[in-house]
Amino acid sequence: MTELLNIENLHARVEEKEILKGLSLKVNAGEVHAIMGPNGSGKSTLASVLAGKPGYEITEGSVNFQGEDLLEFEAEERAQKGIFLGFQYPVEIPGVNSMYFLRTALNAQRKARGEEELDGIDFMDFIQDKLELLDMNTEFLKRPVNVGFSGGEKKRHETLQMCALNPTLALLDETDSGLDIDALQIVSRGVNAMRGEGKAIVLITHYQRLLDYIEPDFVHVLKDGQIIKSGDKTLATELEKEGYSGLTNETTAA
Amino acid sequence: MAVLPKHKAQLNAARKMATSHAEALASYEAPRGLQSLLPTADARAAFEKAGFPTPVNEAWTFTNLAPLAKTNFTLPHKGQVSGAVIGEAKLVRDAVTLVFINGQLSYDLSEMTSLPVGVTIAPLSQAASMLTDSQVAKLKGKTTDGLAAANTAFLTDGYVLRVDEGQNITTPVELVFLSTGGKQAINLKTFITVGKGSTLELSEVYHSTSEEAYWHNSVTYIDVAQNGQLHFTRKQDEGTEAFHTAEVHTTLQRDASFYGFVANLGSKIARTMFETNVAGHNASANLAGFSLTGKGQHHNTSTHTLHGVEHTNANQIFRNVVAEGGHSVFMGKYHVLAEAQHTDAAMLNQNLLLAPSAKADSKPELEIYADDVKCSHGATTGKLDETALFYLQARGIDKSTAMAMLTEGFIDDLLNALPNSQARERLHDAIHRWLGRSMSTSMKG
Repeated sequence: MTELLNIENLHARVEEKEILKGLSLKVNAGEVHAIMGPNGSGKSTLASVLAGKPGYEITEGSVNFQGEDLLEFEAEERAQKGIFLGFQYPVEIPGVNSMYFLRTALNAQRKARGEEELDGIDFMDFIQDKLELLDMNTEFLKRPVNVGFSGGEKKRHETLQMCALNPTLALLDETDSGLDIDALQIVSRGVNAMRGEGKAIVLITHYQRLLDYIEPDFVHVLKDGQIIKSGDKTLATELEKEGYSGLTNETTAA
Repeated sequence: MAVLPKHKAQLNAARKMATSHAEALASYEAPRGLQSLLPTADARAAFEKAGFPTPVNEAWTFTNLAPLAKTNFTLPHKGQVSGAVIGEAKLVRDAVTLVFINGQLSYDLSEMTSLPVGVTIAPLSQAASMLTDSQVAKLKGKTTDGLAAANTAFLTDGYVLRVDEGQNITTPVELVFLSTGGKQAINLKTFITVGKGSTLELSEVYHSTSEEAYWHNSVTYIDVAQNGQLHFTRKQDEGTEAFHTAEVHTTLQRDASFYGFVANLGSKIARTMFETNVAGHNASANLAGFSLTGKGQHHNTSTHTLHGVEHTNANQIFRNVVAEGGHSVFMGKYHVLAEAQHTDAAMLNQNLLLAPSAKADSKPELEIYADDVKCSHGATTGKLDETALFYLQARGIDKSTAMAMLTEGFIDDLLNALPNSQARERLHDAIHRWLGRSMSTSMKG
C-alpha cells in the first residue's frame, strides 16, 4: 500500500486553546476513512489544519503528504498538490459566478502541474458529465458561488468542485450534515465516483447515516483532540447504538 | 461659522494661487462663437475672489486640491492622437462618437455619420444658436464657486446635445475627451437636453496619452423633459498625474428618469459632483458607480439630490475599492423639502480596503423637512472576507488572484446597471486590468 498521508502526534491550537492534542492517523492510497466524534472534538480543526486555513498554530507533531511536509505549504499549494477540502459551510461569493470560479481553480491547478489551461469551450465539455452525475445543469454554473443556494445545492456544488478538481486526497467536512436523503444520495454518488486506486477519501461526519451510502474501510473516533479508537465500519454502527460517552482514551485500539 | 485665522490663511493662499493661475492664462481668448455670451472677465474676477476650493469648505473637507492649485498650467494646444488610441479609450464601440483632443473637437477622429434623426450634437463653440434661454442664462450666469468660475473664465469648449421630443434613440452617443498632457488646463462646458418622452444612452470617456499633469475641468448641465430617460455614463480614466474635476447638474421633469454612472480609474485627484434637482412628480434620479483608487490617487464622488415635489424617487449605490496608499471619498446628500411628501430615496456606499494604508471616507447625509417619506442611507467599510479568501485558496487559486476575484465580484454586479453590453465588458476588462496591476503591491501591505 502506498502511504498518502501520515499525521503524527499533531498538536494544534487556536489562540490560547489547544484543540488537537496529539492526533495520529495514517491514510493509504485507495482507502476511505471516516472520522466520527462528538461536537467540539476537533474534527473540523483537523480538516482546516490539513487544508491550510490561517489562524491555527501547530505546536507539535508532523503531517506528511506524499513524502512532503504538508505544513510547509500555503493553502493554494496544498490544493495544487492534490488536497481537497469539502467545506462544512461553503462560503458565499457575490459577483463571482460558479463557472468562472471553477475554471479559475481548475486552471490554477492544471498550470501548477504543468498542464495546459482549458478555455471556456473546453471547460464546458470537461464539466458536462460531472454536472450530469450530480443532477445539475449548466444554469447552475451561471449563479454566483453559493449565493442563495439551498443547503443541498451548496453540498452538491462542493461535490462538483471535488469531481472537477479530481484530488488525490479528499477531506469532506460534514458534507452530509443537514442533507435530505435525495441530496445525500446524489452527493454520495459523487464521492463514490472519486474512489479509486491511488486516491483516498477522509469523511468527517457526525452521523452514521452517510456511511450507508459511502462504505468506509476504516472508522476512527475523535475525542478531545485525539483519535481514541479505530476499527472497521462496524464501529460506526456500534457508535450509533452506544454513543461516544462510553469511550475514553484508555480504550484505544488499532 | 467664524473664520479661524488658519482658515483665513488657507483661503488667502487659495486666492493667491487662483490669481497666479489666471495670470498664467492671461492670453486666453474665448472661442469666437461664444465671445458675446461668456462673461469671461467677471468669471475671472469671481475665480480670483473665491480661489481654489480648500478643505475649509465643507464639500472639500476630505479633498485637498493644493497639488492642483500649485501646478502651473498653460492654455490648451493642438494635439495629435491616433485612431487606435481612441479605439482603446472608448466604452461603446459602435456609438456615434465625438472626439475632443485637448478640449477641441477633432472631426477626423469623430464618427458622426450614423447620427440618428432626432439628435443634434455640436461643439458648444459652434452651437450658441442651439441653446435655450435657460441654457444661455446658465452660460452667462454668475457663480461664486471657484472651479465653476474658472470653467467659464477659461472655457476651452464643450458640446451641446439635443434630443427632440418623442425620440427613442437606439444608437448610443459617446464623447471622448482626450488630453495629450503638457500641463494644459482644459475647461469644458456641456448642455444636454432630452426632449419629452425621448430616451438616450450617452457616455463620456476621459482619457490621456500622457503621464504628465493636466487638468480637465468640466461643468455639465442636463435637462430631462417630461417622461424622458437618460443613461449617462462617465468613465474617468485620465493619466496618473492628471486632475479631473466635474460637476453634473441635472434637472428632471415629471416622470423623467436619470441613470448616472461613474467609473473612476485614473487621475491623481478626481472629483465628480452630481447635483440633481428632482423637480417633477414621479421623476427618478438613479446614481451608481465605483472607484478603483491606487497609490497616490484621490477619488471623490459627491452627490446632492434635491427633492422639491411630491412622489419622487432616488437611488444611489457607490462601491469604492482602495489599494495601498489610495484615498477615496463619498459624500452624498438627499435634501427633501417640506412639500416633497412620499419621497422614496435610498443611498448606499460600500468601501473595500485592500491594504492597511488604504483610506476611505464616507459621509452619507439626509436633510429632510417632509414628514411622510421613505429615505435611507448606509455606509460600510471593510476588508476582504478572510473566509472567502481561504475558500478560493483551498481550491488552488493563489492569494493575489483570489483577492482580485473577490474584489471584482464586489464591483461587477454594479455594471448590470449599464444598458450597454459593450460598456459593461469594457469596464469589466478595465477593472480586471487594474486589479492585476494593484494586487501584487497591495499584498505587501
